[in-house]
Amino acid sequence: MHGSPLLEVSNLRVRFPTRHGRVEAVSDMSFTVAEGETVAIVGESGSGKSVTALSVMGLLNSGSIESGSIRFRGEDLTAAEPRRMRQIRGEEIAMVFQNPMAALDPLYTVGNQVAEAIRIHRDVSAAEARARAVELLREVGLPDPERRARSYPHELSGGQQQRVVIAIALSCNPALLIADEPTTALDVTVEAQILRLMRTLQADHGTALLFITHDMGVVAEMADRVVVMYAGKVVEQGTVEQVLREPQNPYTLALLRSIPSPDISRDTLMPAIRGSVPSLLDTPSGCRFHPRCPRVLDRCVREEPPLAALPGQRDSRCWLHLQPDGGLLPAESTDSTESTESTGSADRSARHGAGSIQSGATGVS
Amino acid sequence: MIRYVVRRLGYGLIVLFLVTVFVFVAMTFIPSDAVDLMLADTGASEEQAAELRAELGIDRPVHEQLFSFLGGALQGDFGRSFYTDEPVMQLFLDRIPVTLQLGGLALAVGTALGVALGILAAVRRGTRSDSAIRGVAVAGLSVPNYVVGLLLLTVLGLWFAWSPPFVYVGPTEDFASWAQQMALPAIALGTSAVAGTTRMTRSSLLENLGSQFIRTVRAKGASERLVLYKHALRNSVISVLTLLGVNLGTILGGTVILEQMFSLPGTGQLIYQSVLDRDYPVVIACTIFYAGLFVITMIIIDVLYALIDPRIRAAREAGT
Repeated sequence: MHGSPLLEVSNLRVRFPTRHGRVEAVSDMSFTVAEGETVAIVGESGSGKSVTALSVMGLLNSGSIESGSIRFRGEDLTAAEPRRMRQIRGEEIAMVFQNPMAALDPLYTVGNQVAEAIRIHRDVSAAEARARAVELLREVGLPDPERRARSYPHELSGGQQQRVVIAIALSCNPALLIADEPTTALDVTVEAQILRLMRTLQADHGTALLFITHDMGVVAEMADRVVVMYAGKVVEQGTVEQVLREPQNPYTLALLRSIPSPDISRDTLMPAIRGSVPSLLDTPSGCRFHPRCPRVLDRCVREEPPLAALPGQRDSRCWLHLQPDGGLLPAESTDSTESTESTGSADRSARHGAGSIQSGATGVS
Repeated sequence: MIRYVVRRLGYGLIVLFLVTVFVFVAMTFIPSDAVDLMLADTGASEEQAAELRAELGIDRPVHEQLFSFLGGALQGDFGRSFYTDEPVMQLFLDRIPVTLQLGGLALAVGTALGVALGILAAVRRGTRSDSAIRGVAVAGLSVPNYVVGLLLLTVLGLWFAWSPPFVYVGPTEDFASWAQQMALPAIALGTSAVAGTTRMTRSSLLENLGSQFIRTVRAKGASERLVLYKHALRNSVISVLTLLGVNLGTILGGTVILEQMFSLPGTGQLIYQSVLDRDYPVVIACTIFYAGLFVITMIIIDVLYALIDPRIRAAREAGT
């Protein structure tokens, strides 16, 4: 179905200096993205997913890659010269950011900013770049692109600005597009349009997509494969069907359970994973999820579980898999969430995720 | 935009009016007047003094003086010096070139140097050159301009037996002599402008360099040159421009003492001498001219804001 890995991240470890010492934002992270494939990295805030994306771009501001490699078409980007990285950025790997309202320079027209992306990598005249920019703006569905090219960012809506950012990202037809929560800052209706646009463009150009999100609904809609991260580590990875239908890791299961669904009675608490994401300054011993895990074993407190290869080309990091009974989690498991059982299957609740209901935590279960 | 400028000019006139009222009121609080000084050693009688006061018009209540001044000012007559009887406008126009040369030099060189040092410090953030630049900038902001002037004169005079020429010559007559005479007071005046501009440029650049739109530019594969000069610097210009206005005020104020210190025949020296002589028409008119210069510069800066930032332009066209 897909070719050889376009991007291969192996054992990536990223640290940031802070006032309270160095923290490890990403630990021993490995995953691949094949040509034309869509891989979603999922996790809560602070799980290291954005840091992973910025590492691939070589745009970590204060953090540094301690070890591991990021191979793009076989070339290790962690060892690439700044000059070589500038060639790759925009030309071969492009990125779309979380907050479109802050992603464009307020002082230049959007046409100028798209044309700039073209002129950095292509030896074309200003007029040609400009004409191409208008074409790109048309392609991303901006109405009246000739006029819009002369608009400043503040004259566009958030969704239109994100379309401009996507036009910039696609300007040189990159092989890999990294999208870091591209719809989080947008309205739900606009979100659907932007996701559809990205899928269409991806299909037209054969671009591989590394999609970073915390929204399981978006994962279900966009991804071929999923990488679930927790506190800087991969806890589970597999195809979207595997991970969403039959999550094997207690964390993934809890994450899927905590998606609100219309089936939940208003009188029960919103399902949520108890506790909070650990501070990177003080990561728990053993398995990083053990303080919040409903199925914690003695061993989890002491020893970190390895990423275990499970049948069907998928991995999960949990001691349960290494128990004598084989330890595969049943699809419907014991109470991993604080509230009563949700009736929907994981996959079903995932698909409901995008249009979530905010029910108040009024009753006691 | 034109409507905006017209409105700003209107506000400017209100400012000038308030400045005028303030100066007139302040004047009444100064003990002794020009007549006291003129007749100090002549043994003239009280009657003669009163006669002279009536002749100069300073025996009248302050609001009457204000109204007659405003009446004249509206027709372009700002009064005459008590001593020389020259029109104040003429005195001012004769001397303003020297002050504009001095102030312009201090402001232009100060801002250019400050922006350059600010860029250097921002690009080399956290290095020794950054620390050195920041240290010097704090020192430059802390020392008043007349102290810098005195230090320069003292150090050059005592250690190198050099002092600037004493008689002013225009830059077109003898450029070398003019440059020697202007250099020290311009350095003294420009020091705080350099220091302030350096700090403002550095902090503003660093803020912009860490912003999300700069990350987008970097993600395009842009060179650091493009990032810095096309995007980060232009976004920092607004705050540097604001500081330029503040610096203009400081520098105009500084000329009053420094022109005296370096015997430059500019308006600063004129104001200084007129205050000592209680030559009110000169003091009042010069204060208003300085205020007018300041108001006009501020309007120019505001127009520049709009040229740089389309959001400001849009807000003004919307009339907000």
